[in-house]
Amino acid sequence: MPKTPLDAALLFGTDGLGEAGAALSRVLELSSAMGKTADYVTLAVTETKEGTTVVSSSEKALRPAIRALLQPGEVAANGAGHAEVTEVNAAKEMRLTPAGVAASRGICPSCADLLRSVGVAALSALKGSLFY
Amino acid sequence: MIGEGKSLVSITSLSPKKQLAFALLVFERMLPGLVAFSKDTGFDDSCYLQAKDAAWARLQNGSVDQSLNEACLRGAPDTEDYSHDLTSYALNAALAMNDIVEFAQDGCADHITNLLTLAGDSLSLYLSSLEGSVVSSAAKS
Repeated sequence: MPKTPLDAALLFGTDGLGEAGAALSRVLELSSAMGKTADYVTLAVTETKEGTTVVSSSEKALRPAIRALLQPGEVAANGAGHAEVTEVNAAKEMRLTPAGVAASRGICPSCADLLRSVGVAALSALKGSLFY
Repeated sequence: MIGEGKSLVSITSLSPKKQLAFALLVFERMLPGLVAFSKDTGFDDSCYLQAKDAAWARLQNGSVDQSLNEACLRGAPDTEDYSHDLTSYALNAALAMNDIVEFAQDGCADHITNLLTLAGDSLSLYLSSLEGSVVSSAAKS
């Protein structure tokens, strides 16, 4: 039984998941560069309607290894708190419209509530769901 | 820059004991963040202090208990559970001690590389905290 989104992706793959699969693949790809810290830090990738992708973490800033992997069209969001909240706030600040968020670890209930309240889709598993 | 190949070559050419001493000296610079975090949040840092003492003793042919390794890893603070400013610094110090204990046990230089990455991450996070910008592009990083 897979315990994390990464385990699940390795078992089942992310093909055929469309936009959700792309965001999930990307966040897992970035997370795999974090070594042991991946078990203690959540990364999140937010797809926006404008096409820009916002990347953030549950730390105040992205670690150098992650920043080095960012591609054109991807921006790092800095800020305290859970990665999902940081991203939604940063997207608003950039006048972008967040469409969906994928996280490297389970999305907590309060973040899930926030995403729901602002009409942003959760593109990865919630904490306590099948994979947790 | 810390953690880059050039630094590593010179460090891994040292004897294992000197590598361990180097790692411990780096950890000593990371420790104040962990201790301050612990005092403010009630986080239990005792296994890290115990592991540090054991690793210093290892330099004088003491032994490092395998259970300390597991305790260091299991007890590291999760960044989603704490909102304290020093959480990331405490996490890096905790994982650095885990690498030191593993190095004391198997002598693999990868642990020194990991420790240097963690120390560099702490430095980078500190510098980022001075910037104050909410958003940065790939080009800026």
